[in-house]
Amino acid sequence: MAECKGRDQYSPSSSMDSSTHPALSTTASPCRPARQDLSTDLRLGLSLSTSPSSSSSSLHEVESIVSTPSRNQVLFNWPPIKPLLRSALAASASGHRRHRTLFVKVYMDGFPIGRKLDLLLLVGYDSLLIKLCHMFKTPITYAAVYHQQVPGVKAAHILTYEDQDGDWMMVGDVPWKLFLSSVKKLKITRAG
Amino acid sequence: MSEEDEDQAPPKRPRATPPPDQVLDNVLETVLQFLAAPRDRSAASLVCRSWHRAESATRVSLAVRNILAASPARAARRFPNAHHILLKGRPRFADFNLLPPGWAGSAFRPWAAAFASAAFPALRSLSLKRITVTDDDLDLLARSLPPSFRELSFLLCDGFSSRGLASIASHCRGLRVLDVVDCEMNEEDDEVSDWVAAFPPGPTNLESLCFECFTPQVPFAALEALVARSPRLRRLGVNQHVSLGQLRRLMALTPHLTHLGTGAFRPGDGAEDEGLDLGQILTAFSSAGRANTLVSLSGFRDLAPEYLLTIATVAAANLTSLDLSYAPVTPDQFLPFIAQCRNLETLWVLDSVRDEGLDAMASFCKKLQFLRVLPLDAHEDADELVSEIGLAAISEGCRGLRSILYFCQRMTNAAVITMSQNCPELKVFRLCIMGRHQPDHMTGEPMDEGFGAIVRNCSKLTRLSTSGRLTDRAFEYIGKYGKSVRTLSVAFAGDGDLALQHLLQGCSKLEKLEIRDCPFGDAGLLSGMHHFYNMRFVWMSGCNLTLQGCKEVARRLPRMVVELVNSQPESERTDGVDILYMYRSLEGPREDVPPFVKIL
Repeated sequence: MAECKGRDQYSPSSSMDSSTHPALSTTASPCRPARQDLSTDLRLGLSLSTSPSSSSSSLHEVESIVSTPSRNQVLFNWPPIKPLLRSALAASASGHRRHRTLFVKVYMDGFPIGRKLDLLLLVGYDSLLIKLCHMFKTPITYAAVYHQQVPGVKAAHILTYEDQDGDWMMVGDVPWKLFLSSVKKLKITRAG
Repeated sequence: MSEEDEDQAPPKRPRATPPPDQVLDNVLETVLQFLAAPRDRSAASLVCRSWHRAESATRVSLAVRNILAASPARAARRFPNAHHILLKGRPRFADFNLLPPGWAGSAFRPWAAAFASAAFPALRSLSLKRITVTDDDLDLLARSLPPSFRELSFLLCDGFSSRGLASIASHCRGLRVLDVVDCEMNEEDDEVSDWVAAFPPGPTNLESLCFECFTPQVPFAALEALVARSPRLRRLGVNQHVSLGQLRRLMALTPHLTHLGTGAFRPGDGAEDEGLDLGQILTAFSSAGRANTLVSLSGFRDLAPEYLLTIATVAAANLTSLDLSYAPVTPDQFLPFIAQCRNLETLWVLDSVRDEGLDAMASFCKKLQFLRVLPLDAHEDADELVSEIGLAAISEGCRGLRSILYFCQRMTNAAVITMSQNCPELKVFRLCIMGRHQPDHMTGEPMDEGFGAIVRNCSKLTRLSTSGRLTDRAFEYIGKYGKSVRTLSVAFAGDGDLALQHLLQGCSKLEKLEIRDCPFGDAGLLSGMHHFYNMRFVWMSGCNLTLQGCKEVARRLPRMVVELVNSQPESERTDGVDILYMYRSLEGPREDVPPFVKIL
């Protein structure tokens, strides 16, 4: 049921070392065996990272998994929302109902930190460009402009995308709906 | 109870008039009838024996906020005249899968038997919250409730099915209210009873019929016929299978509608939806709106957003309550609608509206008092849709805010402090930073100062839920300033026992304490011994309690029922306490205890 906690064998004190994570600490009470994580079933397909904690060497239960602040773990009892609401929203999110999202990563050349964008909130290439120009504060070009089918300034950056074959293509050649079904990632590269 | 007894002085000479004590009783009873607030009545009953008697005889609203705390026999002996009874069962954390099912499966049975044997002969209404009720219980009730019985409502209950509802519908003549809200009903797909058709023919007295959580489809013909013969219907909440076309037809039959649960709010495939156009929807809502009666909307279980805007111009101006918690609307869809809702007092919305949606809402809905911003994607690493910007905007715009529940991924102390300064009327502040142990994301500091400001500046605060990274200092603030706090929920916070000690020794009005996954141990627990009898319950799960500590509490407080619950019934517990749930009770430990519960 609840997530497991790794427990440190910790010298009793009432105040915590601020560098130790609170969830890893214990007071004078004996170390409890870490509980088995029953939310395993819900983690299928999600990457689970064992949190790299200093307490891993003193874990007592071999089978249990250190959870603590592991951000990849899905808890079914946190955050606290009513079960009916949770299942209704989960059903809608998984596409059983009309509302869906299509988040893709967007990187710009020279910028190691990327952004994420929900393409389903946009209605076409124009809105995509506008959104990206806002996000990255730079003029960006796509296929129609680059090849001068649509008049516009040729900007310093070109928008490209990675399709399902792993190829990097210039954005704008295919109809929007077809683009949505094949896009995996976006990259804003320098022109020329 | 005081030992003063006004009956003691005997009359000095024969009187023609009734003895003064009986006159006093009559006067008392007459006066006490005007006293409604439960706390006032409770205080009145403690004055002396005759006040106790008079109050007990005249109490019409009985709230047993923990069904395990008092037996029906005891309640019936003391309050035989009860008209309205509220029973609450499971602790709230059971809603979040923290309590294994079957924890108190038969707690309602003795009450059902009591009602059936006319222990409360004047019973008119029964409200059940977080209680397991079986179809057999409902059948028993249906056949034996007094003719005065009018209202039955279920909130967050489970264990019954359409068969139980059918029993109620067919046997409770004169039923005015049947509300089934947020219940997990046991439905066997192929054995669904048509409880709507089970209502007897002829006009009904129904004023409120809500079944938004009912999962199977209700045959529309029967529903339409029922609504057609319920002239007093003011509140109607249909489930997600009722399409927009069907809703329109129902609305034509309910001219006095005040509360509407709209079902899917999307056109369906049936005959009722053929040729459905926006004009027809507009007419349906404007006729309800013209009488200014429709004040509350909920449902929208499969919202087609274009229709939301349609009703804005005719219905939004009168709305005081709007529940969009099942409708993932985007800011573009939300803004034009909320701009019309100038009288809104209650709003439940998903964070899909984003900070800009909240900002717009704050600029239009100046009368807002109760707000919930719920997470579309309730995971701690979901995309951030609302943030401290939304919270600050709300506090700027909605100065009269009384209650807020706000889910977000990250927060800042500054925004929380701003809210504490802008919204002095706050009675309920529940902030859920979904990322566990998340500090202030701008400064990197714990969220101590934010919550400290809330307890310091919001003097009317009675309910507080904390989240994010909190050190013992936060609890020091809560203990020092949270003098009116009655309900406190703490999760994944604190550094050690000192935090719990601050709470238990500082919050003198604390009645309900829910703690999960905090590093609090026996020392912290034991620091509250002086106060536990003043509390309704204490829940501590995932903490560092031991059997000895809990045994110590049980030993020193015999009127507390101390339950240790094993949240994983399959595996053996060796030492350490998984869940501690303790509550005061007049009845002592309950007898039907599942194997995963141990009562000390």
